[in-house]
Amino acid sequence: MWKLLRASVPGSSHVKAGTLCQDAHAGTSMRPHGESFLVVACADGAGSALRSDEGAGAAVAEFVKAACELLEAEAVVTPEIVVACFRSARKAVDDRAAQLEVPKRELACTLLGAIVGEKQACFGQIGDGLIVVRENDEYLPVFWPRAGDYLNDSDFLTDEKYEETVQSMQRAAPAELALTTDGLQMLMANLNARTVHQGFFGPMFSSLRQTPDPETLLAPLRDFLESPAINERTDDDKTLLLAVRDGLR
Amino acid sequence: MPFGGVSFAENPDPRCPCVLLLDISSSMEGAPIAELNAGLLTYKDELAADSLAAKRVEVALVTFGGEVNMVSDFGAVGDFRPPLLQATGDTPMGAAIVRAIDMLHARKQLYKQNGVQFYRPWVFLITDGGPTDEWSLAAEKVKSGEAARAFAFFAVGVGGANFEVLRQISVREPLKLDGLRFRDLFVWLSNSQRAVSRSKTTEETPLTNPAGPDGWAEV
Repeated sequence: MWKLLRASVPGSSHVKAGTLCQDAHAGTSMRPHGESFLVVACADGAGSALRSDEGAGAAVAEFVKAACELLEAEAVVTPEIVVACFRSARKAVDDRAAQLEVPKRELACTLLGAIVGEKQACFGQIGDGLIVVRENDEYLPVFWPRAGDYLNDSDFLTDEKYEETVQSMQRAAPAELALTTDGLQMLMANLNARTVHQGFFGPMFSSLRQTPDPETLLAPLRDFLESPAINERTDDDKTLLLAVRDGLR
Repeated sequence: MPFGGVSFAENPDPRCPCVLLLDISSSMEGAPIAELNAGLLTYKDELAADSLAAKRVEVALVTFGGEVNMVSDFGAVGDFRPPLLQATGDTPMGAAIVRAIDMLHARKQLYKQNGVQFYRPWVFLITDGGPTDEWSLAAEKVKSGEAARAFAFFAVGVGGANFEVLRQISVREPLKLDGLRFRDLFVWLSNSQRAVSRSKTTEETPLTNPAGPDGWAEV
């Protein structure tokens, strides 16, 4: 099946301001109808939205739940199922906003999701962040975040016309993939060349590949995400989700 | 250390450009220009004290008093040397606004050529009067620039500033400085830019209301 390692840590500016971590992640592996699947998602709540931690949490939980239900019904991977999962996630965020009695923009968040079967995989992304897959011996970004003019322009799942800005695609199933919110983007990608920094992902995946028990890497991962080397470069919330197909060397 | 071998991508820091557009016409003579000069020093010190903002905020300074003068072009906060401004001449505000917008445009081109990410630029105008030159082109450029989200234009009026004209130039409601609280204004400006320079995913960084109880603006 899959080895999964995932963590979110609050950014140093959020710690200082006493605000919550507004990133969220979710993931599971399953075997409906005899085929193995991995379903993973992460989301970054907008810093300017009051309850974006709730939005991010609802979005990732619903993405994974909706994908599992669809796969239980029919174990096929198509770009349509990822779009359907985004629609469910959006509805979950809307419902949560209604429960909390706040406008839905107060739950503004990005969303990145992947559904990986044995042969095929599909991916979706709205807003900043990166999905990275290994193809042959290279780590590649699945999408490049849709470029707004400015750094502080982002697309959100809660946007009125979010369906126009969701990117989705199908490709061959990778054996290794990573999802991350934009807190780490500057450290793991060369923004000008639009390439992924191999030296970031190589050692990460190597550790996960070699461990018999991903749980043992959780504390080191959190320490790494909170290390001074990283906090010198970003003070945003950070999420990293890594998955390696088990049995691969 | 499981992740000891991880290395990081090197990217230039994203930039947060701002043009200060300052009225130094002869009516600013005396206490106003002295307070403005003191405010500029505070502004520089506040930004320089914040390591992330110091790397990201880029300040340019254009004055108008008798003539339009680019006192300093965009550069890092550390390189910004607040000059001792002296009051002189009339108020060519229209030409100054056009100049500031042209400078921003050129700066953005430079960022794009070099793959530097940037935040939405700011133009921050401070005046105690009204334009003595033709200002309709300036007003038009501010309107179209705001509509295209090319920049955010803020106008602050001091004392007897011509708010009627400022309202026709600025899409955002012009603010009225409470007395000569230039220093508080510049502290607010540096705080706002610090907040913007570390924002990443926010569509609009919420600014504290300068007309709030402790603010520098009159309601």
